[in-house]
Amino acid sequence: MPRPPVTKSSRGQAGSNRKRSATSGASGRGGSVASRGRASAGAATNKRSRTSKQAEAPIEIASRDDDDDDDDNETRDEDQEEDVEEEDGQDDDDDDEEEDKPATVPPELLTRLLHEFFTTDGTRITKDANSAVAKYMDVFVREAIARSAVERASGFLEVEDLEKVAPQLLLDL
Amino acid sequence: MADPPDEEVRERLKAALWFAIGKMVDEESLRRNRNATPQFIAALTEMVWAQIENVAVDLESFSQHAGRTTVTTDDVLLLARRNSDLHAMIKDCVDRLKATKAKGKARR
Repeated sequence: MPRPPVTKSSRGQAGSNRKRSATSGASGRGGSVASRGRASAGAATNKRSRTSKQAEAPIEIASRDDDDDDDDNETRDEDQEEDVEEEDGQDDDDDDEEEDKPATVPPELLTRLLHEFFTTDGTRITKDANSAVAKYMDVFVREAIARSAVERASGFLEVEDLEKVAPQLLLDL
Repeated sequence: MADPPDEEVRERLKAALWFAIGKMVDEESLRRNRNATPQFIAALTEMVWAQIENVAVDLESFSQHAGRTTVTTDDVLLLARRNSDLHAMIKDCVDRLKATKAKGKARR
């Protein structure tokens, strides 16, 4: 059965695996033959893209610190970061215009993740339920950030802050 | 049927999740004028990964308890039972989804 191409190409090679999830775990597994071919082809490039994503994100965060869009409270340090900031700043503007304003976990990724953890093969999930779980995880992440921000009044959010808030967060949600 | 190496699949899923959470953290950082270290995002991703695992197992149990094989919004609402504010937020989201669905059907 031909499947429509993934629209969000910005997600990279990982998207090719995600789109086969649909709503049925069984059909998702059945369709794995095609995706395995894609997976093996994409594995090499995916590792590269993964490391490049990991390399990108820290730079994004660093450049965001010095971003000019908001009021410039942070002091700009090196000229190097300014150059990086210009490149990433343009990408970020494009992303903001293209996608919905609140960033959240993509529904296809969430479906794929949920099916990964379902213990019974036949388990399916409705689209609305998928969106509801996305909202739940959205609240979870934002609550985690908010509580960590309370722990540390200013400066960088560290792993220690997350460690302090995690137990209560997991009990509350 | 030989499964693709599970570890590799999980690594890529985690990477995709890491990317999505990174964007959410960046958004919040902008809004609060705070910064987050990459280690923070990595730790948060691990936590979200574990939480999704728990959520998935719980949802599956709820739907099986109801005699279904498909997870519905009712199961998700049951997830939020312990926290009334969270429950209200998810109920609101579900109601909105149902309203848009109803509008679509009415148009037909």
